Amino acid sequence: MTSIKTVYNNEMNNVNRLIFTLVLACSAVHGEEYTFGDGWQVADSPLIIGGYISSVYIAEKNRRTVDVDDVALLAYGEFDNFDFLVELEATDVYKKETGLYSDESSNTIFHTERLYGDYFFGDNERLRFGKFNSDIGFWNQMPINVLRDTTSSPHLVDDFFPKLTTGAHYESRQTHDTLRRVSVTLQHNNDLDNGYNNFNVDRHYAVACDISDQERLWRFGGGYFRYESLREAFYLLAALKMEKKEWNFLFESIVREDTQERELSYDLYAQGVWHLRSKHDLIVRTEVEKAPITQAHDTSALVGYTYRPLNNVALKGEFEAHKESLLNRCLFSFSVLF
Amino acid sequence: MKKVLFFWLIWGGLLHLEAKSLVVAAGESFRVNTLEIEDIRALYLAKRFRLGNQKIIPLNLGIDHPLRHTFEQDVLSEDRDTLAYAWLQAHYLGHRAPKVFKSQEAVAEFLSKVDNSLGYVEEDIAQKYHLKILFRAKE
Repeated sequence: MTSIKTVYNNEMNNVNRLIFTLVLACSAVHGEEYTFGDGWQVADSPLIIGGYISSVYIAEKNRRTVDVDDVALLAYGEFDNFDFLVELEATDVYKKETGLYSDESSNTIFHTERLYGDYFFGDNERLRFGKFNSDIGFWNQMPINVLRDTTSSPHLVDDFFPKLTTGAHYESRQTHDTLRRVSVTLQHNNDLDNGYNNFNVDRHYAVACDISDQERLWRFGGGYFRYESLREAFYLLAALKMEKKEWNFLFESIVREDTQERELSYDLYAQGVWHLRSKHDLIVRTEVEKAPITQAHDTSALVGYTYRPLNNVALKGEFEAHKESLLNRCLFSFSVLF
Repeated sequence: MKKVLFFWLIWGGLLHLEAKSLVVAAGESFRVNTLEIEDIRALYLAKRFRLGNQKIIPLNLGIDHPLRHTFEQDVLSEDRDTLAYAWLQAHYLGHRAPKVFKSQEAVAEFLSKVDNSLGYVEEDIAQKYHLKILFRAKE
């Protein structure tokens, strides 16, 4: 039987190898002046490396949690017709819970969050292949803490569709028409990293489109996915985004039908962000969720404040009030992209 | 007499500043001859990264350079927070932010050497380095 110490040593060896590789890569960096938040260019190559860190403190009625929840490394390159990107991520790198019960744990195993190549057919058409953020709605395209408006994400993003897809994605963009973008997603295989996803998906077929006028950007989508080898679900999504100098508005809604569940699941949320002044945002969000398959039936409201001392650093605080008061919580986070 | 001389010096200086027009330029072998303001905005706001089949490298001046301030206000019409956040998102999606140079001469030199790069300089600098002028912000 493998001892805990052996497992720990193996994990540390993996981390050491990763850090060693990173240090080697950084040592080759020269020429360009590094701007914090833009990544490093490796020598004069087209390779850029970077990463991000997120840590969060959660205060609930019976529990307090300190969590270094995301540590990730990014590497990417851009060429005339081809791009690539690799993102390796470790979650819950250090986690300590106190309250009714106490627990302390660590994890240093890095997983493949994204790994893809893009091939471009001219200006407006792109074929992506590999593992990538599923093209569903707005929030899921910028899902990391430092880029999100709030520390927490709506349940819609976490519980209703596979966040990641391993397969192919075709996208066609138009810059001047009302129909701005159409896309098709195809997954007909297992996940690239043994189910490192919110759903362990082996089938995912989806379509999406963007429709825009001067003021509003609408996003519609729908798809089918199969998870745990036998469970199947269909979903439809409609979303709206408006961006002004002083405020942003975001609305997303989804309906999901599971073949093993009679009742439909649905979720919708609306969020306003007010840019009070440079680097200071006030956020208000409300969400309604009903998901019989997970027995979730919640209505919630959130008030949050985000301060960005630097463009790539975010300090956030928020309070979530739920229909069931036991779920109420405060979250504070620090996140950085480098 | 001193006052008159002082007045003409100041006025002359102002006229000289006014005469310096900002242009978006590239090397002589850049694939297109002109750009619309929407194209420049898309390239500098991280909404577009290519022209045709060519990856474009946008260049920037240092954060405190007055010409960068003019470019952001007059051409991009965006505040610095919005621009920085757009490129932060782009970095996460695998697109590098514009390369930053300390002087217009350094920008011009890079443009003249790297075919697919694009930058903004004053028109006389563009002419000195034989750059192709793609867009004029002020006549």
